[in-house]
Amino acid sequence: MTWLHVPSDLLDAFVQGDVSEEDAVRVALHVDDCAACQARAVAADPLATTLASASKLSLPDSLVQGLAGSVMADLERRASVASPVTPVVGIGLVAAAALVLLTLGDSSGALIQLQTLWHAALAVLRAVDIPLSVVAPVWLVAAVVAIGGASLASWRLEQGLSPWR
Amino acid sequence: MAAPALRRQDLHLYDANNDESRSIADACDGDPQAQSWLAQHFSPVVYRFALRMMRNEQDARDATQETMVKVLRNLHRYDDRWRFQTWILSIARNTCIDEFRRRRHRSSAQPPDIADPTPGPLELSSQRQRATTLHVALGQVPPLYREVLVLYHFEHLMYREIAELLDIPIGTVMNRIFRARKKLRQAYEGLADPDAQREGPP
Repeated sequence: MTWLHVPSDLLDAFVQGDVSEEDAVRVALHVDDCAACQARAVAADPLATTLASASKLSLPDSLVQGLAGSVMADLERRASVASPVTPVVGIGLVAAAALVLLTLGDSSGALIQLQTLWHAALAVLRAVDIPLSVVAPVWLVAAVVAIGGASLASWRLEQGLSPWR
Repeated sequence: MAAPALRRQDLHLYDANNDESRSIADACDGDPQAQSWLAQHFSPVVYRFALRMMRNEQDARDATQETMVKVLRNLHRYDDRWRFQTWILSIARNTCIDEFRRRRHRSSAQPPDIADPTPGPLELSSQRQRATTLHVALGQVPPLYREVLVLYHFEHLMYREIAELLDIPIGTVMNRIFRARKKLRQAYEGLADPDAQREGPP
């Protein structure tokens, strides 16, 4: 059945949530684009009318200025912190990972250690607000090198050799 | 390995006469004035959303700050086939979800909601009183359902925008909204019941 506007009985059922999913989607997509039916849907639902009247939450100007001010201050602070810290943090964490793994020389513990470090690294990234995707390739390579190096070193230790050479 | 900055020609709907469009492009180029304009313009949008989700002014303020910083630092990722406000709200939503998770982690027995908009003067108009009751009722709706209500009824997003934002099929959005409305109605009627005789239905 085609319609130009949603028939009243269907709209009432829609408002009550009393329609099939197929009809719900059809009406929703229409209501999205049709201001008239949208207004009718609001009028048909007392709750929506109240929601509409309650939707205006006016904020004092001082609050808005305060919010925007702290956003800009935070932005500035992070911009000055993030750039020199990023490579240092990255290299530092990978070095720490390798060191811990080598010291332990225990391949079963190694994975758990690596997982802990991974979480620590994520926490640091979150703190300095660097998107993971930006550094993901670097981390992947670093992780492979760290795991590979650690396995090799622990194998050498088991063989009674020096882990280094 | 920073992602390449978004350029004006990448903005499909770039419009030099539109403040929002121009500010987004200028802020992408690192113009602090444009960034400040976006912060002023969209912080209230995010704050209102966060306040309705978090139900606490301080949490809402923190979520707003975090969201807006994320927005301004990731402008190069903005795909302008989305409405800018919808994109921002999707980031605000993720920020709120992170905070909910953190809270659940901290204490599973924490009461869900603390503060509500204050009733204001004693002589509330009945409309105002209904609105206040509604805010309290909204706080009783679980966050999964509350968010669709807030996005649709308060932020006035379209159903299809909500589907895009939540990354779920529109049928699922509709089911969730229907269930959410039912929950809100129950909570609202539960709260309004003592006054039902005097107030009557809205």
